[in-house]
Amino acid sequence: MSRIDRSKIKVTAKGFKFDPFRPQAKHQYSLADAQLKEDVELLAFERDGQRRAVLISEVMYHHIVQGELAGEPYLVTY
Amino acid sequence: MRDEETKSLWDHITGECFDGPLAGRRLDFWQVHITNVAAEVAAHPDTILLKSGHQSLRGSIMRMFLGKRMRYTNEGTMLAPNFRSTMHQQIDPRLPEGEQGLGLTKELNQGKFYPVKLIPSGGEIEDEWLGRRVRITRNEIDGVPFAMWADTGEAPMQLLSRWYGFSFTYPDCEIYSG
Repeated sequence: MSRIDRSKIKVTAKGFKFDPFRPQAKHQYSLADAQLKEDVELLAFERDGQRRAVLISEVMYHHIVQGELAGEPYLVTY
Repeated sequence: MRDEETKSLWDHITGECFDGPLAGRRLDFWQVHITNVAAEVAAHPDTILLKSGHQSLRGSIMRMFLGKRMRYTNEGTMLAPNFRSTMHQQIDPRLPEGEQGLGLTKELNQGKFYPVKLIPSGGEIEDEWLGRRVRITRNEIDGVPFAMWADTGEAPMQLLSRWYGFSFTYPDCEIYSG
């Protein structure tokens, strides 16, 4: 049974949808070669030794990153 | 968060589905690390960056105000005026609402919050939680803490969070006080 009280949920933006980021091959870059400033903030995650990072400034726009890594689907939210 | 296929509602922090056809299901949890480019490249030089090219206006404005400070290890935070109205209850008064900390969690109802300010940058603390020793180190480059069980070196589920967000999700959580 869920510990969330359904009666307290408020729908504050009915119909509003985020624009999820669904990374494809064209969106992939070597972070070390990306020439970003050192203090640029990231969310990083990995599976089976494969590591990915997304820019927090971009995730603040999308709120959702949805893809596949090491053969498994993932969903990163922010 | 509502999924497109079944319209079920999900808790985006715990991965729990609490309403709709998939109610009761729970997604597997992967660790996600908040960090910066310098720390990530130093520890993981082969990391692949996923870049969409879309920036948020809100993020740009926050960067203008906060400059080069790492937002995620700062003490205070500003809540957008309309954000507070989305909260369904009062914020737990045990800590300041914007206190930044590392929240350790187990299952859906056990958690402990470690204020970042109590963990020395570049250093570590040890604590006991759920009958096990846990070691939390704080990266010198990005200032972000990370926890591991002292006996196995495995990482418990954890998230860097403001107090208001963590305490809403884990209302009966413990608080580390040093």
